[in-house]
Amino acid sequence: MTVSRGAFVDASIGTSPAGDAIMGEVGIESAGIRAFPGRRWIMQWDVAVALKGGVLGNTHPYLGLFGPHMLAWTEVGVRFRPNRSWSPYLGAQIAGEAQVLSHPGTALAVSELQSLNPVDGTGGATAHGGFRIAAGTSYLDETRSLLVDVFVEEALGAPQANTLASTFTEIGIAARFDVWRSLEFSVEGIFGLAPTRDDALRGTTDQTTRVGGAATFRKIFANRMWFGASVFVERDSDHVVYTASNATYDTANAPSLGVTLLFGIPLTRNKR
Amino acid sequence: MRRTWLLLLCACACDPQKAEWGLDLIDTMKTPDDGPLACGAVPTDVNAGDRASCMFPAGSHASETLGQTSSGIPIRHVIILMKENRSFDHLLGKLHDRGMPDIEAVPDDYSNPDANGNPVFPTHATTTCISFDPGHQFDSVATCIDNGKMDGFVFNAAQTTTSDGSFVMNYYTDADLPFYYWLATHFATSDRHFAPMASGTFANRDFMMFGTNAGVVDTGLAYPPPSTPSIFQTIMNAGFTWAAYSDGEALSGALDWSPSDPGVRTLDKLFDDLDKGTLPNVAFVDGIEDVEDDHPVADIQRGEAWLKTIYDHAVKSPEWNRTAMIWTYDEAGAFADHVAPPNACRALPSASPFTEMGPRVPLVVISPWAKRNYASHVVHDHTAIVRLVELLFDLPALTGRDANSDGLLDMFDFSCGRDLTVQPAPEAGTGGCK
Repeated sequence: MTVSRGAFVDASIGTSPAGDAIMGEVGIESAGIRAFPGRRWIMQWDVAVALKGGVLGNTHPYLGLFGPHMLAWTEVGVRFRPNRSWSPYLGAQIAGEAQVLSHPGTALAVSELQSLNPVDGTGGATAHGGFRIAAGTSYLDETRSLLVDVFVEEALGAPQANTLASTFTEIGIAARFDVWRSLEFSVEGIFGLAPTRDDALRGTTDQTTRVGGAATFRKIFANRMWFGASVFVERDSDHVVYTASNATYDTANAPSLGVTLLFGIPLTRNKR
Repeated sequence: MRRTWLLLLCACACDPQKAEWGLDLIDTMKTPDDGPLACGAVPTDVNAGDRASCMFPAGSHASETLGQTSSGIPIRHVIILMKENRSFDHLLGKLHDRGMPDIEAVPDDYSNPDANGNPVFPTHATTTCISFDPGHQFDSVATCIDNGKMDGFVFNAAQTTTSDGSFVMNYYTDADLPFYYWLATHFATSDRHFAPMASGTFANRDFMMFGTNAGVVDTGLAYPPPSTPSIFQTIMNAGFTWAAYSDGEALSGALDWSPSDPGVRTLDKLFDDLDKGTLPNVAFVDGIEDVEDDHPVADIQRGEAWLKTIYDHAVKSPEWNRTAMIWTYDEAGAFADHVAPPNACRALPSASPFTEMGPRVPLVVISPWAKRNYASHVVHDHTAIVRLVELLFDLPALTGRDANSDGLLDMFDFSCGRDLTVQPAPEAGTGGCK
């Protein structure tokens, strides 16, 4: 229904607890949404493989990072009233993302990364994954699709040089609007809670809360080239309790913010 | 339209990397009454061997690790005056010849090779305004230490400045810095106090606040996660108070705190608190960067005068007899020092892998209860200051590093009835910035 497939180049600027970053990547991507015959099933996907590089402002001079980046997610949903424009919708999504961005001259071993200022979240070996169940409503006609849903997901993060593995149970709301072979716009917001961590030696417990949001816009031109823009914001907060004194501290990491601009060209002939 | 401009203004003016530390309560906490003046001899240290073997974990109390409790100690206020970037040999290397014969002298044959391999020996500085700031982050300090040979300082300075690097072999004397030398000879001075990590300001200061570098290696744009257990939190947990005083960046910018952050005060407020006897239990005091904090290119005599002003207020304070001032430097700033740093305990349970300390820095305990004209040779780093605070207020250790530290106890004499008077101090030096 709406598909962008081909080579892409993007550039992003952002900030996170690891520092400000200017990154870019070049790769291939297939992303889109389609309704299957009978309009009962809808599938969304985004699969990308790219080479990524840039600089992270966590030290002077800025730290150069370079390496592969892979992203893959898909959501398959069912429309319970396929013959109507508006239908209840239930979907399941699985997602994974991994990147291995190294600083030239520095090995990816944890001990090597720990001899640099923290790159966690931006550089080093990072891997995230998740599983989502979404429920909401779907509007579908000959040229347009709208999905609005609430979701529950389990978001997993692999450990990094200075960061423990993470698990967040998240709830959120998402909306996606597509115009056939022309336009894609999506927004979502999440609220997540991690399990409480005990630090027996120091007598503390710590629970992390995550709040975030993202918006994506993608315009697909008649020649199937596409232009995209996305923004995201995310912040982790911690509730630290000292069990002996019951003293509590509510802290918050520096927020993560990012803006990405993307341009893509199809690699296959136009079949329209 | 007005709203758009306001949003744009905020986007430009706000620091997007700003974290929230959750310490707001400190602004409303009251410092507890000091209570009756306690005193008593420091017990024999029977746990030194266990501490050297890193036997004590985070969470340990000083009563377990030092065999001492706060009940026999009169100190209820600690002022931590952490300056910037001077090594022991560079600043106080002539103490051995200036009234402190127990302080280890710089060996006559100590030198560093220059770019041509010719030896550069220590020489008397010709100015108190050194105009170069040698590289002093993780890689540079490793070059300086050169696997314990301590012969890479000149090479590093030549590589990281536009000079030949020989200035890092400069030293000062009591003629240049009369007040600094007087403090070091009048009170208790350590000649085995090392920076906790072989790197720059942020990592070393983080050890003082968290007992670990908390992931930070080089000074710049990296800060610890604000949920890291800190000395601020453990002080507050026990009902005691702290403040970070500075007319520049509090804690030398290591936590990215601004003047409006909880607990941050001006220097005038420090003077007011000293004069009125309203000092918090722990005061972190920092000078203006490159002006008062002795960091090159500051005139070190100006930093000396700055410390003299604080000292003058302190000795006149109604809380003087309950106060210990710790004057030290965060790290050696890649100025030469001849003593190879030993290893320390790992900062477990933090992920920090670092055990090698950085080159020696000056540390002087200034207090009516400090031993007089005393040279301490006990090996420690900034986490000994943390341990002293933990001892005084019965706080648990933050990590394995401070848990196995000595708390500077050998530099105090808490004996009842001892003479607490201090001699008049000389003024700071002048005219050295030529």
